[in-house]
Formats: sequence, structure tokens, C-alpha cells
Amino acid sequence: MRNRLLYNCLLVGCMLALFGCEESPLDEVSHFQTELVVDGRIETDALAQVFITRTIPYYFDLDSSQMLDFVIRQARVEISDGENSEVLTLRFNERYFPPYFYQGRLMRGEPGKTYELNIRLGEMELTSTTTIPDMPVVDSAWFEPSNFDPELGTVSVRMINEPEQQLFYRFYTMVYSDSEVFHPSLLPNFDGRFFPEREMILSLNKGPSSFMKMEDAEFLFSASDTIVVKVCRMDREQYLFWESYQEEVFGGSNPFTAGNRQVRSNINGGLGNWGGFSVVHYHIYPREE
Amino acid sequence: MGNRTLFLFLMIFICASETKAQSLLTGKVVDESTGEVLPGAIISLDNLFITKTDENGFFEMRLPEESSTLTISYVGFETYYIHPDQIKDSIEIFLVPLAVEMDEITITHSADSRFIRDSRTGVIEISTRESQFIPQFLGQTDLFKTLELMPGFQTGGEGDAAIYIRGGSFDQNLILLDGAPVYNPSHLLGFYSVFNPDIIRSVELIKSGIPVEYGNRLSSVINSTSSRNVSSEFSGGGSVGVLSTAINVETPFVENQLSVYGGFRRTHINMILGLMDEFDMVSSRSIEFESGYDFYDVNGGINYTPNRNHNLSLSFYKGRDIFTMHTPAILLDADMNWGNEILAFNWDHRINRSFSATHTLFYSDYDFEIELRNPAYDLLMHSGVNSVGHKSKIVYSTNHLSLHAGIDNKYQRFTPNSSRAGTESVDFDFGTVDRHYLGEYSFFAGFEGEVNARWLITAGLRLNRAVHYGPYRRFHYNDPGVLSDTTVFARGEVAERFTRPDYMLALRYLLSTGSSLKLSFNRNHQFTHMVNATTVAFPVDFWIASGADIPVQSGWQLAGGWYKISENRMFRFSVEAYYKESENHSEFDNYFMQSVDNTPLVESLVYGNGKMWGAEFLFSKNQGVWQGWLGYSFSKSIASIKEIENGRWFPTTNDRPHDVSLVVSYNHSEKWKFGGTFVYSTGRPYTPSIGRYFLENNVVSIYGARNSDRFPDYHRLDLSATRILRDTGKRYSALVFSIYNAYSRNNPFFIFPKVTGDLNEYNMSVEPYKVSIFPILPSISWQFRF
Repeated sequence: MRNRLLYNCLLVGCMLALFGCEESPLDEVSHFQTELVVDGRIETDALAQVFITRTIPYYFDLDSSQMLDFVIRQARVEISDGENSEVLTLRFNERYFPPYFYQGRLMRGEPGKTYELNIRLGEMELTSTTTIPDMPVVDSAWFEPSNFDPELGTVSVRMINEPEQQLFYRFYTMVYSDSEVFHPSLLPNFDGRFFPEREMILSLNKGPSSFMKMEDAEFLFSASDTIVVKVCRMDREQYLFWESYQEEVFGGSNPFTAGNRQVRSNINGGLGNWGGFSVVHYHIYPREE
Repeated sequence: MGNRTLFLFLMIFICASETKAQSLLTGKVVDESTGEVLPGAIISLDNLFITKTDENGFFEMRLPEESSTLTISYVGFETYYIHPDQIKDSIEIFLVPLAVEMDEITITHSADSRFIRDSRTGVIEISTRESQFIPQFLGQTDLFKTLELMPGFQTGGEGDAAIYIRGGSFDQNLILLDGAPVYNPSHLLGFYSVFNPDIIRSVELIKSGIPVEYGNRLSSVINSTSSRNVSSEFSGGGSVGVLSTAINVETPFVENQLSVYGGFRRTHINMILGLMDEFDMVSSRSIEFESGYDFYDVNGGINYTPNRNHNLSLSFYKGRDIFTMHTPAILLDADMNWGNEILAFNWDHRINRSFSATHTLFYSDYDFEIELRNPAYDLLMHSGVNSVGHKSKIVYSTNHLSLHAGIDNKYQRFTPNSSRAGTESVDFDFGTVDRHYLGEYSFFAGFEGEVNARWLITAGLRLNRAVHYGPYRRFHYNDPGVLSDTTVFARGEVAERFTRPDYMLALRYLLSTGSSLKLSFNRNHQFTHMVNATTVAFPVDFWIASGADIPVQSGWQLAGGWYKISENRMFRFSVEAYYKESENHSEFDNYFMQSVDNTPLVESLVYGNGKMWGAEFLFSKNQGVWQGWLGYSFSKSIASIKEIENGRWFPTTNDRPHDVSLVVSYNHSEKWKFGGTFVYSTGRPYTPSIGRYFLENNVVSIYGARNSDRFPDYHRLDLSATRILRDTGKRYSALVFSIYNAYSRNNPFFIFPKVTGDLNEYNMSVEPYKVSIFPILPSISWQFRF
């Protein structure tokens, strides 16, 4: 009996050994490595702007001096449209983080043109390409008072869409009384294929200046504000980037929407985005409507 | 191979024909206390001739010329002996419940004989009655909670309703209620199952050697059945607890022929509300968060037995869960609701001495809706699946051989994602809703035969034909991912068809009367997928069909084990090992918010292969004042998907290397019974954030390798005490005191980064933040039966 028991145990043990010999994939642990991050854009009739930072370990506690360590100020940043090129200049803006950024002096974005970005920092080289699409067609925009308080409301934008094409839009708004900085509207990205008619009307909520400061955020505009709507048209690659970005910053901590997918990037050799936008600004004066 | 199969068939038929059967004994085995028939009771003669009762409690046995004492046994009942002189052609046997055992935890995987003598590996059966004294959560016994305590059965952890069997994914489990598929078997984030224990008679879990009568799932079968007995008198029962109320009644309409039953459950205190405050899941943004949870379910049925040869039953189920979220800081409200509707008709037909047939007709529907509202837009997303089907099985049985064959047909309609959205002034056009229509047509046949006293062989073949019907649009894309062409299939037109065979083989070798070795192999195909689009197990699940764009899942499993029962029948021990592989399992590989329009879900799916292996140990004590079991399983589950990290093998979310469960019950006296369970399992894998960066005034996460980190290990202790106020057999009344999570372990439901600081002020910190749902939860409930 004892022999039989031993035999059975051996049999099971052999099976286990046979099945368990594969290397555990958990042995491969994820390692953080520092990379450069680009937040750059070129808009129609505007100078290119490029912010460059470094990635930081996941859990951290940084004061002001440490945070500046992650801002890159020694890079050589060059843009080119195939005919002309320009090396951007380091500039400073204390009202925004990162406060240091690179800006052009001569070249302004034009619809239909493709712009290459080249960044060199020591041995590192980062490259990217983006194209500015044709201009968006904005018919009008107006303040839409809410049902519960006419002093508060959203902004509606009437646009001419081309349903047969798949056009992509991103919206920013700026309120002069706030910070004179454009912030994305609450849900800023739109895919034109969901609007079958040639005329489409979009409703925009005021977006937070940052998703880290939601406790102070307001989502409706005030009738006393002067509002500027910045309508950006972009290509599909940019739309996919901004959608992945939106998913991360808007839902990254919500179990309904939290994901485990990296935000997209079109930067070779680094992270982030180099985007081209055709832009129309539209001013709204609610009191005068 | 073909010759070998033929040889086996011939051998079995020769064995069967050599039986010296002189007379035929037929009979029925009944519970003396309730009058209910006892399916699965063992009838044996000298340990040579053995048979068991069918689902209606009937059995047949050919007796040799010189008969000896007949033994009838059933777990929880006194063994009954019939002297040869008392044996007639037809007998009805009333078994008397064991006074002590009946109320104790009993693992009936098997009655002794099935445990040792069945050829199937990985089978566990639990009946409601036998799980009564397992510590109860929130005032109700739950068969699924009991199954969770068995080796090989794993859950996602805190608040996760998913069920993982031997490392397989949730959608690879065929969950049946009276023969109808159940697409979501859970209430309340998995803490209740949809199977009302007052209605359900038993649950059977088959982890390997899956019989060919079941198809379209790779991992397991969980088969639950409600009572099919005709009640002889009005009866009822239920429970009233802190968090839920349940009541059920049953009454005869035609004496011994027709009875009707019904049951209802619902949560009536939203205690979860307060607990959900811990849900501060968006507190990294310092957003207030409020939530509410509710569920109900209704069961009912009619049982009709016109004579001993027919048993007909009609049963239905309807249940609904409602979950609400209110986040005023971002003006966002979310309502979710989901539920099943099931209707099943079963007809058990005893044709003659050797033939019996069972027929099932069913309808099953599952759907969920999520509605998001904020000032900018309203979004309503709906997903669902429904099916209608039929199954017939004919069984031919002799003492040593059982043949069965049948058909199993099903038509399913899937609506993976259907969305409506709009603002006050405009409705978004999300285009045509993507739907899948799938017909499954299967024929199966198999046998179980004893080659001799030691060897038992079970084998079967199932031929599956799956047809993907139109209407369906097949999209073609150019390289940049822009739509270039569309193929349209009209209603009823065949978009794709598959023919796939399933087969299984199981062997048992009897080492002695109390121990056996078993080995099984099965090959299966699956024509459905379930895709979870979120990183936690909210039921944001999309069911989809294999078809023109989605491949068929397939898999195989080899399992073997050693089974031992002590001579005094008090202890049982088993060890089982398995190895499984699967192909074409789907994985959602997109951003959730990009799937809320009507874009075909197929665009967000990737497919890969899986490997799973492990061993399960179970030691149980089934008699005496102290009873219980200790289970341990070691298991691994890994996957490789080309689109995820270039096909590197990574642990699946179902990977739990170590899993331990200890269940103890103590029958202190006629008045007091105590129970306790302790569970431990390795934490579930998840994809960690390993870095961060700044972009457009926000902080963005960098994610590490897929599932390269784990939650903290899960462990929990539950305790219960039952004070029996009255127990006269027919009338029963008891107070159940229970403590869930007795030492208040904070098992994480969700881990997320908590971000504080202000970029424009140049200071910032990010800390990990853990959300647990249930701390220590004492509860009390009054249970009654009349």
C-alpha cells in the first residue's frame, strides 16, 4: 500500500515537474528609464512652440527646484517645412509649467504644409513630422444660457462639415477674466463622421485648466465673460493622440475608464507629440448677443 | 487510431453482452423526509453490479441468477440494505437522512462511489442543503461562494464578479441554469450569485474531461438545476437579514402531479452606500463621489409529472442590478444596470427499461446599460446578447455500458455596443449598430463503459457547425487605418461558417475499492468571446460572436489525478494536475472611451494564445462533529498576443499561483452550529504605472509591462454561528450570525495614483492609493422553512 502511495505521489510529482518547467514571465519586471518628452505644436499663422521635459519616476514628491530639474533648457530644436528651416529660441513664461519653452521667430504654420521637428540633446536625437490640414470652416459661435441660470452657459459652435470626408477637430477656449491661456474644452475632440449633415452644431463646456485641479474647476461660462473659442482642425494621427491623452488624464483614476495603454506618441526617440493645427479663433461677447 | 477506437467499442460491447442478466430490477429512490427523489443514489450488488439513479430517481439493474444483498446509498442518508428474498421486480426505496450529516457541510463530488468510480476528473457537486452551514455572507448561503472555496475555482478578488476556472478566462465557462446559458451569474460585484439558494437544488462544476453534451466553452461547465420534484404540500421558506430579504413558496395544484413554486430576493438596505464612500476612486482629483447599489431577482416554475415516465418543468428567472454614481465636482452622473432573463423548459422522458431522453428548450437574455450624463452631453451605451435554443439527449444504459447521443442547437444575437449620445441641441450620429447573429448546430455521441472491474472508459465526439449570418458589414481599411471598402451581407446571408469537432476521452483505473487513478483529455471550440473593456470587473463586458472578422477560440486540456477515500469513509483526499492550451482568445486593445460609439468592436480586438497548468489538492473530512476541507491549488496562466509587447508571454489577469481555502464546521449541539472559512490567494496581476511626464498642464502615466505587478495577496476569514430556534424536520427556524472579513483585511479593489500639488506652483507629489470595498461586516439574518 505504501509503495502504491509512493508511486502515485511520484506520478503526480512528475506531472507537476513536467508542467511547471516553463519560465515564469513575472521574472521580467518593468524598469523605469528616463526619456525626453516633447509637447510641441505649430498652428496656422503662428510660431512653433516646443516644450521639452524629462520623464519622472512614478511615485514622487517634488518641490519647485526639483521640478525645474525635469525641464530641458539645453536642447537644439529645429523645424523645417522642406524648403525653409529654423532653429527655435529658448523662452521663459513664468505663468505656465514648464516655464521654459522653445519658440520660432520667422516660420509660421501654413495649411497643407508638412513640418519636421529635430531635437538634439547631447547624444540624443528626437525627430517627428506633422502636417497642418486645411482650415476649419466656422459659421458662427454663441453663448448658450443654461436652463437653470441664464448667467451661466455653454458655447455653441456652428461649423460646416464635410461628411464624405472624415475630419477631426479639437477645441480650446479662453476667458479673458481667467488666465488669458487657452485650455481644452471639457471634451475637446470631435470626429466629424458622427455628423452626417453638412452643418454641425457642437456644444462646448468650459474645461479645467488641469485635471489635477478639478476641485476648483467650473464647467460653465459666465455671461459676463469675453470668450475666445479656438477651433483646431487636425489629421487622424493627431486625433488619435489627443483621444488617448484625453482618456489618460480624464479617466486614468476612474475604474470605469482606467486603462493600461500608453498615450500615443509620434516622437521618434522619445515621448509626447508634435502636432500641426489649422486654427480659427472666434470671439464671443455674451452681453452683446 | 481508427482501429483502436473500433477495438474499444467491440470490447465494451462484448463485456456488456457477456453479462449474465437473468432478471430486471427497476426502482425509485426517494428522500423519506421530504418525498423528493434522489438522483445519483448508488445501487450496488456485491460491489460487482453497480448503477445509479437518474435525474428522476429511477434506476434499473439486471440481476444475476444468484442474487445477494442489495445496497442503496446516498450521501447524507443512511445506507439501505435489501435482502435477496425481498427483492421484487419493482421497488420504491425511502432513504432516511442521517441526523447529523444532513446539516453538515458535505462535499458530494461525490457520493463515495462517484468520487472513486467516475471516470471524470475535476468534478465537484454541491447541493444547497449541504452548503447551509458554510459561513454566510450578507445573510444568504450562496452556492457560488461555496464553489469558490474549492481548488481550481478562482475569483478576481475584492469586488470582482468574474469566475476563473483553472486559469481560463471568464467567458470560457459555460454557466447553465436548468439548461439555459447564463451570461452573467453575479449580483452585487460578485457577492451574490444569481442562483437563489432557496430555488436551486444543486450546482455541478466540471473543470476537465468536459462531456461532449456540453459545447462552445473551453474552460468549464457550471450546471445549476432547480428542483424538479412535484411538491406534495404547501411549503415555503426564506430569510430576513440586515441587507437582503428572500422568500419562496411552493404549492401543489394536482396531487403528486403538478406543483408551482416561486421565489423573490432583493437588497432592501443600501448598506453598500456607506461602504462605497471608500470608493474615493477619483479622489486623486479630489472629486466627491457618491454611489448606490441595488438588485433583485425573481424565480418561478411549474413541475408536472403525469406518470413515472415523464417529468416536465418550466422555470424562469429575471434579475436586475442597478448601480449609480454621482460625481458633482465634474458634473458627471453615471447609471448602470444589468441583468439576465431566462426561460427554460425541460422534459425528462423514460422511454423504456433501457432508454431515456431529456429535452430542453430555452431562452436567455443578458444586457447591460451605462448612461453618462454631464452638461456637455448625454451618452447611453447598451450591450447585450440573447439566445434561443434546443437540446435533446437520448441515453441507453445497461449495467456496464451507457451510450448517449443528441443534438444541441442555438441561435444567438449579439449587440456588442450600441450607443446614443447628444447634446441639448444635436444628436450624434454613431452610424449603424454593429450586431452579430450566430447559429450553432451540434451533434454529439458518446459512451461510458466498464472494460472490467478496474477500468472504466468514457469517450465522446461532438461535431459543431457554427454559422455567422447577416446582416453584417465587413470593413476593409487601408494602411493608415482609414476605411477603404465595405462588404455588406444581407439578412440571413452566410458571412462565415465553421465546422469544428470536439472530443474527449477519460479513463479510470481502480486501485482498490477506496482509491483510483483518472486521466482525461478534451478538445473544445468556442464560438463566442467576451471582452472586458475596463481594468476592473464592472460588468462593462461585451459579448461577441466568432464570424467573418473574429476567429474561433479553441483549446485542449490534459488532466489526471489520484483519488482516495479512507476505509471508514470519513476522509477523502484527491490530487489533480492539469495542463491546458488555448488559441485565439480575444483581448480588448483600445481606449475605453473610443469604444463607446457604434464602431465595430472588432476594430479594438487582438487575439492570442494561452497556456495554463497547475495542481489541486483537496483533503476533506465528511463525518463527525467537526467537518470541513482544506484545499490548495498551484496554478499558472500566461498568454501571448502579437500586438501586445511583440508576443512576449505575460501572466493573465486570471493568474493566481497559490490559492488556499480552509472550511470548518462544528456541530456543537442540536441548537448551535458554528462555521469558519479562511481563504488566501496570490494577488491578481495588473499593469503598473512606472513613470510619469508632464503634457499640456497635466500629468500622464507611463505603463510598465503587461500585468508585471500584482495586487497585495488576498486573504480573508469569515465566521458564522447558527442558533436553531426550531427544527421539526418540516418546520425550521434559525438565527444566523455571521462576520465577513473577521479581521477586516483591506483587500484592494482598485489601486490608483493620488496626485496632489499644483504644476503652476511648482510642487507636486504622486502616491499610490488603495481602495477596498468591504471591511469587517457583521450581519444577522433569520431563516425559516415551513
